[in-house]
Amino acid sequence: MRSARMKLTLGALLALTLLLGGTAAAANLQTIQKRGYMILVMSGGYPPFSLFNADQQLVGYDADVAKALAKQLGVAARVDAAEFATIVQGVQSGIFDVAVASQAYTPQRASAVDYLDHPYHCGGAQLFVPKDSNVTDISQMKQPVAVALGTTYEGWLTKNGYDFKTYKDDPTGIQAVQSGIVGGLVTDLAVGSYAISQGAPLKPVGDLLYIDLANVTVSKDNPELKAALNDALVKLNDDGTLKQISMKWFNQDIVSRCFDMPITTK
Amino acid sequence: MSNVVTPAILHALLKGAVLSVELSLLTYGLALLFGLIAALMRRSGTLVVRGLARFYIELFRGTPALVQIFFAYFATPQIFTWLNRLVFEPLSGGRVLLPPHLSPFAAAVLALSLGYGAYLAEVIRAGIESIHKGQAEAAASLGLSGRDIMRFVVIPPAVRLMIPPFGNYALALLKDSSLASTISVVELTLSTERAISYNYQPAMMWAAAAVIYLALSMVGSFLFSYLEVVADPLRRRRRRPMTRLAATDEEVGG
Repeated sequence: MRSARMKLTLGALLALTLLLGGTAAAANLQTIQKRGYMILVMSGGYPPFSLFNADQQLVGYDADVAKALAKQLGVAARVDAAEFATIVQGVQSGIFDVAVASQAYTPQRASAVDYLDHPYHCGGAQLFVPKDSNVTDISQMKQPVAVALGTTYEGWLTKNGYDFKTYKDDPTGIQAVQSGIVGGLVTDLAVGSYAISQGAPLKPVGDLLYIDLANVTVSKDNPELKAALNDALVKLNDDGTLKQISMKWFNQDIVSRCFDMPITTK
Repeated sequence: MSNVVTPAILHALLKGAVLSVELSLLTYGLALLFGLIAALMRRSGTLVVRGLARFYIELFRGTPALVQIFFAYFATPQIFTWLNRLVFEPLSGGRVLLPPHLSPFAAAVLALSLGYGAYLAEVIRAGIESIHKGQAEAAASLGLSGRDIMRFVVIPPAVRLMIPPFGNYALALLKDSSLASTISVVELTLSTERAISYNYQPAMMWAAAAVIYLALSMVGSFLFSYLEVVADPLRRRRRRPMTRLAATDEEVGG
């Protein structure tokens, strides 16, 4: 009896797994145009690329680029926040149409979602430590460093054998640094610099760990949407909109020098 | 440091707390409904009905609430697509009935209410089964109908036994509602996280969030203590000595 029931349960679970093996239908260009708005996702925890302002509105470089892309496609923009590590599955399952979430290129991500042909900004990985720390380089770290879950920074730390703890986003990682759980934080130079300008008690140390390009992604098998977004992104670069948004958030151009680099540049 | 506790941050926390309460109340209401249905199904004479209830209860008691929430949010789009294509479109002549995906709030309510429904089903079943069979038999021998036996003999004392565990699960649910923050429901926990990403004051802000949760759960706790008194004819009579209801209950032997 017990084993028969077990078999039944396992069988049901197996059937469920097979059933869910397919892919959900993500909205194509026509569906989005008919709907009248496009759902663009970012983490909301990556200031100043995406953050919630005092009025709890999702703003930042990513949010502005997302709105500009939707405008190019002639639809309204709905910008949503989701934890960074859940963004790929959210795009895959069609919950979001497009991710404008500062995603670097990885082969794993490329097997799950499609990348646009051009990056939309570039930066570099940087180690940040508490203001009063004596550390001057990542090789001197005695404690683990904080890093956001599912980021390429996490991949780099793993590959290079550094001790780290993952958090769901950088603001949470900064909490861990402040409370002394970790000795530092690895994130984009612009992100850490912005946090410092907002009162985070950190400082950057050492050279950039590496350079990375950030990209827009869409669900696979959605060629029309991808082509339309590619055209829109090129237009936004050519007419200076991307540069303008960059100047607004960073006071510098973080787009032009890398826009024509292959997205797999390391 | 001018942005430590601004009115905007306080407002965001309060808004988050309100959403936590809304999420918890709506979820608890649905969980009671699911629990009642499952408990009645578990007492059914039909094996298949009993089995279905058992399957539901084991499935939801045996998987983490967080997994259920992620499933409700990230896996339902595929299930909905599949159901639309294979079931609803053929039946309704091409109309797509299910939405492409659930909102984060709806996914959280669905997952948590099904999960807590499974726990409450067992509370309800335990309550009903704890009333000695002899009581129902005695009532039957006095000529009460089956419906009246449930209404006057079994349910009043059973409900009294269910109230403390109902209270426990209500408080647990209030706290578990924080899991909805993982799928971007901006309830109290996520509002707090966002406020910290803005003012860099983790110790103070998490303390504030804890105080708000504690205040909310104390309100719930007092409410359930009051319900215990209301449901107990002896204690109720002590408060309002002359009520007719108390006398009736005593005649029945409650």
